[in-house]
Amino acid sequence: MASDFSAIIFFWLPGIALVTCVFYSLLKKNEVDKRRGVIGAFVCLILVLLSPWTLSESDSSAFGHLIGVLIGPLVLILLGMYNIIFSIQPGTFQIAKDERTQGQIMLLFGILWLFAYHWIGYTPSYDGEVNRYWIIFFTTMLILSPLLFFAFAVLVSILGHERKNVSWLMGLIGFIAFQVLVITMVLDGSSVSSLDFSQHLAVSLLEIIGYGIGFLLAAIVFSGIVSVYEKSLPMMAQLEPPNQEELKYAREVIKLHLEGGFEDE
Amino acid sequence: MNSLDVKKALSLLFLLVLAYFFLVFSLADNINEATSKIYERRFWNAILTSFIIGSFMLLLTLVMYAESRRIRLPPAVGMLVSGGVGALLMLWLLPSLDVQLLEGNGTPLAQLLSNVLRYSATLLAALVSLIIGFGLFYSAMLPSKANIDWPSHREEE
Repeated sequence: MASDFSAIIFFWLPGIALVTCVFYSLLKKNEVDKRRGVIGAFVCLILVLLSPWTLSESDSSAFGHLIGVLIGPLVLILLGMYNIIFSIQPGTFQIAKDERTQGQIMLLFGILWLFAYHWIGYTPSYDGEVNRYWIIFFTTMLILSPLLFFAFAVLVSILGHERKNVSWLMGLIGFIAFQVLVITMVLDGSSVSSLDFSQHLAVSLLEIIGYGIGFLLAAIVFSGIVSVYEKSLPMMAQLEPPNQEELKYAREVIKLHLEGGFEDE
Repeated sequence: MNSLDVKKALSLLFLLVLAYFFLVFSLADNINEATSKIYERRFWNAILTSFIIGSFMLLLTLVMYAESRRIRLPPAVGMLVSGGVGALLMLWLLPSLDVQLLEGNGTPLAQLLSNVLRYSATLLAALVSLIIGFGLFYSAMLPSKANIDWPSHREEE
């Protein structure tokens, strides 16, 4: 019981507060409120990151460990993306080439860092075994990335105008990402065998499908409730059609506007 | 771009997702009695977890909807009941009907919390994939070199 209480205090409360603070800072327009949200989120993130030490006996802290090991590669990926996206000057077609190159290098290193966790070493391990949330994270990312690039390729080829090169590029990146996925099923990682990893991939795939179905069901219930309440709302009071006097007044106003307004203007 | 193109694109996208999932699963799986049990449990846990979390997320939307329509709380109560039913289904009904959802966790509540963490890890991975995917897509859509034929706004002024 003491362990459950500690888990609530040291992991779940900061975790829930972290998500709440992030949404708070995103939704508030006032700068002071935004800053409060960011500071709150930062403090909660620190508490979640400390959970492997403050809550070492609980399984939940493995997730805090995952966040900790992902901070490095994720910061590189996000900074890289920021540099790539904002390397073009706003309102112009001028590109800061240095920033773009730096962004591409950061992105590449961020992704390679994640792959290094799997193949080269330092696989995130917690409590004497590979962190199970790391496996979920990595397998899901490997499954979704090629799909996303293939989807972009298909959408651009049908909906894009003179964007064949983009479509081919997205298809090529998707193909490379898919090859990486296949290689993980063939080559053993530093801590996980290819056979085990394949099984984790299958489980993650089923989970992704399950999450999709579950959310779809929730959305169906949601839309059902909204449509029931929309139908139950009383009709708005219908206005009477305009009478002759009102129509005559409207005609005069329109005529005045067409002729250039009132004389005193 | 017309509506026919959009329909065609969405249909192709749907087929692509189906074909891709089928291909990956056929490459990855090694179904035997033990693994099929794991697959079944994870699949049902995923559906229920997503339904519960999705219901509570949409509940917030419904609260705003109820405010805008001035119909107070009934829709939100509806969604709350929906999420609650999902949670009850997971904690009590399915385990009692021999649909095995527990995976080494001592209690249904521990299983639910473990599921929420698995869901969070999946969501984080999806978010990272989306950031990389959209970032590279946006980068590919940008011109690859400065186009001197297009003057900047500053030069125009």
